[in-house]
Amino acid sequence: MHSMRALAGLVLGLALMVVASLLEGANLRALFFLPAAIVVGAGAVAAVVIAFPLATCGESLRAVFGNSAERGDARRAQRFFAVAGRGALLSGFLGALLGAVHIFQNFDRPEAIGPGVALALLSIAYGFGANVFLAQPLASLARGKAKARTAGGAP
Amino acid sequence: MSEPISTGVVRLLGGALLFLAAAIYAYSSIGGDLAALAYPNMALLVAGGPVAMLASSRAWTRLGNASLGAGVLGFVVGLVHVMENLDKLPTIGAGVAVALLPMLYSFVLAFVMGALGSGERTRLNGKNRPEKAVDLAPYALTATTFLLLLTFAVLYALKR
Repeated sequence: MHSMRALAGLVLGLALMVVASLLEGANLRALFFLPAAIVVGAGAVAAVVIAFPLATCGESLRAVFGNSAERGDARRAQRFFAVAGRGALLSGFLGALLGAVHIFQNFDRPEAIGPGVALALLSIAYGFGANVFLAQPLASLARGKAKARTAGGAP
Repeated sequence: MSEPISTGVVRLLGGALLFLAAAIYAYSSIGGDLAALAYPNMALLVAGGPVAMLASSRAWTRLGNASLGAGVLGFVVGLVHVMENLDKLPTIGAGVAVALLPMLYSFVLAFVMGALGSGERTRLNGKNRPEKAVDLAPYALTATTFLLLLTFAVLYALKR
């Protein structure tokens, strides 16, 4: 029940941000840039693949959304989502650097600047957003579950 | 520690390859020149950071932090190089692009090392307890620095 409430909060918050930016006049299609999304998504997946054995992914999701998580599982799920979020954040910065290199390489060609800036700024935004709005809430949810197990006594 | 080491190595290589493939895809899809990303001198400089850190610590996240520091150092070295050769370079931009490469290399190194260090204890990373996470302060510093540079670059290019 707790995790469902947290998910509802997450969806509501994201919807609020989207509605507010639409009211402000933002163009949502301009905010989607596939290369930046691929860099950030692959970064999160790669960090998790390097850091944890493959079975941990499913176990972590179960620990957060299921009802019967052991304390150790919840702790591990917390680290899992923290690592995924940090991977997304850092790969966002990497995408930003790639965009910056592209801009500086083509300094005398104005038509190259647009894609470069898009990759640079949007991958920072995606990485930061994935970390703050997706990975950190899940990690703190898992942390809450681990604490509840400790306080309740029975696992 | 139940996982065999070969599985761990496959995970490490697979994750690193996935990360690099995504970066290369993104860079080439905006029309970038891949050959411009290779710069062995600066790669050596960045590799020096974790190698120097090996003397005092073998924790993966510390090695990652050291490579970040080496990346910032390489950035400064590259910028000084640009300043020295201002009249010989075709554009300032080409020089700054080269100066950004060590930071790129150090981000890749720090990404892999940080993921190794903050993950689960396996035979692959062989550590005794979870390490502290990679310190994000250098990232914040470098990100701010080159966002400023980026802003100036865009303003300069638009003005011409």
